Amino acid sequence: MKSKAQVSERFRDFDANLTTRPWIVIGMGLRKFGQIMKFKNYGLWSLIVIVYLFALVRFILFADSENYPCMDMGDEYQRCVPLDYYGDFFTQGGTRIFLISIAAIASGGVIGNDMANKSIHLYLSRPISRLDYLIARFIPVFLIMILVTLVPNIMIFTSMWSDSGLKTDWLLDHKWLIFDLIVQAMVYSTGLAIIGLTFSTAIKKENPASAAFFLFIYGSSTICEIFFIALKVIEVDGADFILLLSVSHLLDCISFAIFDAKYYVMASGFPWETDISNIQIGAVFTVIFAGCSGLMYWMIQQMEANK
Amino acid sequence: MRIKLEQVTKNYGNVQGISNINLDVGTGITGILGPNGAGKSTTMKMILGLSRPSRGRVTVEGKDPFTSQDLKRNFGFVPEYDCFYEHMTGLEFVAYFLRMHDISKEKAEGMARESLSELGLELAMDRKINTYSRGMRQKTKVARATVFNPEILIMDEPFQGADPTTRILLMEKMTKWAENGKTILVSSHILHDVQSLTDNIALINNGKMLAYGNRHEIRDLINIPRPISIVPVKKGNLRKLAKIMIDKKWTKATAIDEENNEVTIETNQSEEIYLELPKILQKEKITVEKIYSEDDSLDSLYSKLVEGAQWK
Amino acid sequence: MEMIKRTLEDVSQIPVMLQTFAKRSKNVFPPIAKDSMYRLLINKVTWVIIAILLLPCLLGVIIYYQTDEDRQIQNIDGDKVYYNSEGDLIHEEKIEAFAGQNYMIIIIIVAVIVAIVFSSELINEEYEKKTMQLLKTTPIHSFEILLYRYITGVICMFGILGLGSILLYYTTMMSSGLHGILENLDVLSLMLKVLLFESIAFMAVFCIFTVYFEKPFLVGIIYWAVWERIVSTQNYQKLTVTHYLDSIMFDSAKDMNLGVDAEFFNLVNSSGDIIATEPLNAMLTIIIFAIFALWFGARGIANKQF
Repeated sequence: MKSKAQVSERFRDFDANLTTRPWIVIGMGLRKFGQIMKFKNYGLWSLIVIVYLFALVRFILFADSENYPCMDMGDEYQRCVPLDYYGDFFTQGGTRIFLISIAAIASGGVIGNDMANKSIHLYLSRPISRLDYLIARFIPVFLIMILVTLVPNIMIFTSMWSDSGLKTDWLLDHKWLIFDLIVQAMVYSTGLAIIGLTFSTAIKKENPASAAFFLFIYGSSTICEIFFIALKVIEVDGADFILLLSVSHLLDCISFAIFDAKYYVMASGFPWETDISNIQIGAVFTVIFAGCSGLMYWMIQQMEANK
Repeated sequence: MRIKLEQVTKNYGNVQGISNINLDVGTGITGILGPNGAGKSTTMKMILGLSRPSRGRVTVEGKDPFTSQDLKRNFGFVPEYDCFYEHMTGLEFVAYFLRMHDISKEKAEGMARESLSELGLELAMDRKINTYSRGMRQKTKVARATVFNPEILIMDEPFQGADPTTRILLMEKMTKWAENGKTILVSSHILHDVQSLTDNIALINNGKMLAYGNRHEIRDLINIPRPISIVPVKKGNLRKLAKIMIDKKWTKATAIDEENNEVTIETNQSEEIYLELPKILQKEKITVEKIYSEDDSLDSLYSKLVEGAQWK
Repeated sequence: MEMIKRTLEDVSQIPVMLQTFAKRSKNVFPPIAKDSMYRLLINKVTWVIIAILLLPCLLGVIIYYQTDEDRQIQNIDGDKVYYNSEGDLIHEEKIEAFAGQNYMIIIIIVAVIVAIVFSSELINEEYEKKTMQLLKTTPIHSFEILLYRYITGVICMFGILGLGSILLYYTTMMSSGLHGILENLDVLSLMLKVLLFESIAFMAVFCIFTVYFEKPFLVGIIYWAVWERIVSTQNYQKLTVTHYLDSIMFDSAKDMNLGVDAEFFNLVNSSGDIIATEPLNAMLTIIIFAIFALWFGARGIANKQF
């Protein structure tokens, strides 16, 4: 039987050109984001729900729009809602412990699992460089972090705006706040994502990588804070620099700088003064994150398909 | 030792792994055959007590392997996949599992050394497993499973990744173990290997047991004509031979293959043909080079059962 | 019903089983212990933990050099006793700092992470690498599979955290001289006792998590944050491990002049009554809990299907 060959319209329009590299990278990133955010990842979802519920109760239901975003505490210190949001759960009533846990869980297996099950060889055989692969793996963790940093803060912002009667003037008065919130969320998300991915690459196993990351960020933050206070009590010079050993305090320093607030550490119910210059903060931030990115890139460069 | 599976079904959630399988295996080698995902590994895992049937009963010497601790002294298991403590040497790995059998350190090391040497790993046994090639890993798995002389040996794809020398070595060992009264269950995709090891097979496809028993007996039970090819010495006898055969009551069809100089007849009564054919050839004065049946091979049986089942 | 029947069967077999385990232990325990210890020590996370433990020690040394010049020495019966610039005994001040840091850093945070990481390496990795399937085809009982890994985990956890505590004690107390170091060894031994019981309790909890959950870190962190950090401060705190550890510590600490009270350890209910458990009862509870947890974990391994 002879018949004239037929093909569906969509195949006739099919363009056989390969997708461009940025699209491959973005596609990989978004697919991974979709995989991590599957509802069966009940643990991650439950933490995200906790963060949103916490934001709702602590910063929306019990908030006062007159004191938004900041209120003066005297002694030139300000207490700002967007800064408290990232603060320690036990001392400031912030979401730090949850954010670090989410970053640990989201980033733990992202590169480590690819290396353990050797699928990284398949990814690297696509027309993308090793740097592109790293960017593709950074995207999902960054997006998840944005989901729990920027989005709740925008929610709080919107609720405060609605509290003030949805006035345009209020928006105009706070126009720089949105920008600050975005930059602040990006700093936290980028910082935690890069360090999380470094741990995932170095340790190669999901659970241990998550645990090591959590311990590294949360443990060092607690240790540095305890010693900072101890040194402050005995009035030792240079105690402030201990805080630069803790990634979460370093991110807090940047966060305070974004909001143009004087940085302090909250302990025993009152603020402890610090005196670290923006240049010093910027230098340490650059060293840590360039170091982590470089280390991660180097570890992936060293990979050979030899087994 | 006797392994029995009675009406065994295994479900994985809504997916049925195997369905209503009956199997009765005694000493000697039995080959479990089937395409990928047929349910071979599931069957083996249930026999080993690593998994439990959803319905039905699995027993080894009348005991449930999932709960009986004593039975596990007699199980040697060669898994299909890699499962090693990569940081150990081959010797440490084999000795480690011997220690789990309550064997002292010195004795375990001696036994492990002997077993690994027998399998040709004497030079590599002190190297870490993460430096081993596929073949070496396969030999280490076999050494681990056989070192304590188990009564039941369950080998899931034992020949994969093995070079021809290793394959022959393993086959010789398996035949020897079977002769010593061990029960060996072996699954393999390479039918030729199983054919040279045993005539006893269990054929599984889509979770169902298609056939079990001696492969020749299985073939006889299948009501599909069996091809028998006759190669005469003189090419001129081809048509004469075909004409004689087509008239016989046992012949279903005849085909002449001039190129290969052979006549192929299809029949359901092959035993009668084998008895009558010499008489006919003598009477008609036809000398033949060979009489053979491709149908005797495991390949042919496999394709008839498995592919036939898939077509249905 | 079947579960109850099987449990009763299990209980009746316990004496015979224990006898068999004891006989087999000389061959089964050493290789498991050796392998488990090796795996824990080559684990990169262990070294991250050690680095984190060294951080407070390093900071302790910095404080020592910062305050070294302000010290005053007095010779009492041949002992050098150190005072600070205000004339207070340094060791009395430092021991409070040590107790606080050890409690906040090692007992509250690091110990939990160590327990999660170690139990995950010892049990979860066996599932991931499928070696558990091989172990389950050997005559070793599921209780033995878990018990020997657990014991090794407890030894390693206590060893690493204990050494960390000793080092922290030394670096914190060294400004008070040998006299100060020897004077407060009871506080160090209390901390070590709490760490031992913490290792026993948390390794048991996280062994259960690693047997029953695919992502033990996640479940572990949620359990720790919600159960051990929040519920442990409320009226139902007797259901948490933290309550019993705090009870052990509280009982001794109140006699040690560490400046802590029941409220510091949250050992009070909503009516303000102290609800601390007797230390001996607390220790027994932890041990009984650990045995139960091991039995429950072993059941999980026995019933796991591959």
